[in-house]
Amino acid sequence: MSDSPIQFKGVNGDLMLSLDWGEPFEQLIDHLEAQLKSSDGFFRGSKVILEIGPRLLTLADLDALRDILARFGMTFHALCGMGPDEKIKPASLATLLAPRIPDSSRDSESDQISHAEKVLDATTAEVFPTASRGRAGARLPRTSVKIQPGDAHAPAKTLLVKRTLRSGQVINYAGNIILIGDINPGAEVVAGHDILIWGSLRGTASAGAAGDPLASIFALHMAPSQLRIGDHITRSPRENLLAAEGHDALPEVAKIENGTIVVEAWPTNKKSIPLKMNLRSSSAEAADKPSRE
Amino acid sequence: MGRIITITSGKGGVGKTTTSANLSASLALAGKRTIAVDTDIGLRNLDVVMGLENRVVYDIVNVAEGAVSLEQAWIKHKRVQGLYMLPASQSRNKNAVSVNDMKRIGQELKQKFDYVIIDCPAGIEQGFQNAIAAADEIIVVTTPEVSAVRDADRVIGLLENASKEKLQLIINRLKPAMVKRGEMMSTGDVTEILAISLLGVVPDDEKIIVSTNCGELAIFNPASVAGKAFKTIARRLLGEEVVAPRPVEASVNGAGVMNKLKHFFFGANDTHPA
Repeated sequence: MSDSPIQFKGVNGDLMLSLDWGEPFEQLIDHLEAQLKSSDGFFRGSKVILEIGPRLLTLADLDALRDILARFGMTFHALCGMGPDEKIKPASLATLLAPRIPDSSRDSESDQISHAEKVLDATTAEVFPTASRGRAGARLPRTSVKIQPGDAHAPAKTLLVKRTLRSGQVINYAGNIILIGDINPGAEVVAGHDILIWGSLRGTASAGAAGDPLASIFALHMAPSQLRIGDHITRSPRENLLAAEGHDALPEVAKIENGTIVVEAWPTNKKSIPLKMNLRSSSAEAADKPSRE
Repeated sequence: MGRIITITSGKGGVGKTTTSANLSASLALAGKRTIAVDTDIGLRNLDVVMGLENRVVYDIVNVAEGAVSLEQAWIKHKRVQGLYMLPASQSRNKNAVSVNDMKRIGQELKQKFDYVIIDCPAGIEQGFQNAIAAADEIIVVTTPEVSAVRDADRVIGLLENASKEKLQLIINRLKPAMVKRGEMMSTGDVTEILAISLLGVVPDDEKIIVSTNCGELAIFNPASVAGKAFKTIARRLLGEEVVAPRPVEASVNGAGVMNKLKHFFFGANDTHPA
């Protein structure tokens, strides 16, 4: 047990701050500030992954955190929490975590905040009114992450997570997510673009939560409770289960094809599908479409 | 300095209290001064399981409030040398004791006992946080049911976040015959998801109900298979290498209950076009 309510941990070159979940938020803020002050600029330039545990944070709380990080030259990179957080909608997360936040000046920051609030309101209504809908598709108002329009053509950033997500734990990230570990039943991973799971996917994965229909979900062992891509949602497809028996499961990929989510062997032995994860860039989008059949 | 071990599970009714009582008594029988602490304030029942119900005078809330000393509140077991119990209050609610109270009580008990076994209430609210506050080690109890495993997984996640590093698993109420038929999750199915070290497996045993009703611990019943398993687990806690008799729980390849369940959920009436 450590007596500090905030633990600093290096994670793949980023800095993970784990907030003690018993401590009141105001005290955490004070503590963080004191700790950063005494660190004498040591953490300057680092990207921060914030682990908030099961606590509920308001948008104002997140703003306060972001302000402190900005003051010490650090950037807010990702948020890792647990449980359905009713107070923060993924939309506001995406806005807060969007890559442009770090280098923005004070002025534009206030714009962002008001924008975040706008998006927050929007999530309660229909966010994607025009998206096409497959037969099995259902609208996904809850986990939809709205990302800045400008981001669509920027190369998506990738968050690497080395841990197993347990029931109730959620990772939200606006770019791609690579997770080395399992996603257990009841856990959820939400990415703006692609998701790669080097392990078993037994919980829920939402790729392309910003509405990206080209997003895919890769897993070594695909046995999810639900898959969501863009505004499509599906349960585990049938053929998948035969492969999922025991430890002989083969890697599979889920993507949208003809308006529904399909899952197939990965890599396919047909003409190889380019790994969108690596190739996504401004011009690759169109060429990305798998051209089988 | 003693060891504080909290027994928790998330889900209710999986056998936390039975485990706490039997492990405490086994440790005491092995010559370790042991106290079992009931933190399920408002729904106390460790005293009943241990057969000490009619001797409760003060409880942990009285101690937390400073009204009585620990020595006044704890109850000495008549039959087992070195076994004590600190009862929970039946009339108060879980907020009557704070995390700091528990840390203080834990530290004090640690000075006086070799083992402090804390029986955690179900759920992940205040009572859970109290129960784990002082713990050096945690034992997560689950049954081989999807719902219990899901809750155990949630709890393990919370414990990891609370920087509890020593986590061990007990799988309770396993029915070997059902596992063999592929109707129950096997030990392998459970540990694959929970991925913490397995301390022991306790087979399902009807005699436990009889034991609980009479306040007679299962470990004293030579015919109880569960009692035997608890004794084995206690020996492992004491650092002994105990090899379980040929694992009754071996998974039948490909016929695991998880696969059956998957077929049940996804195979039968899936209208999905994919």
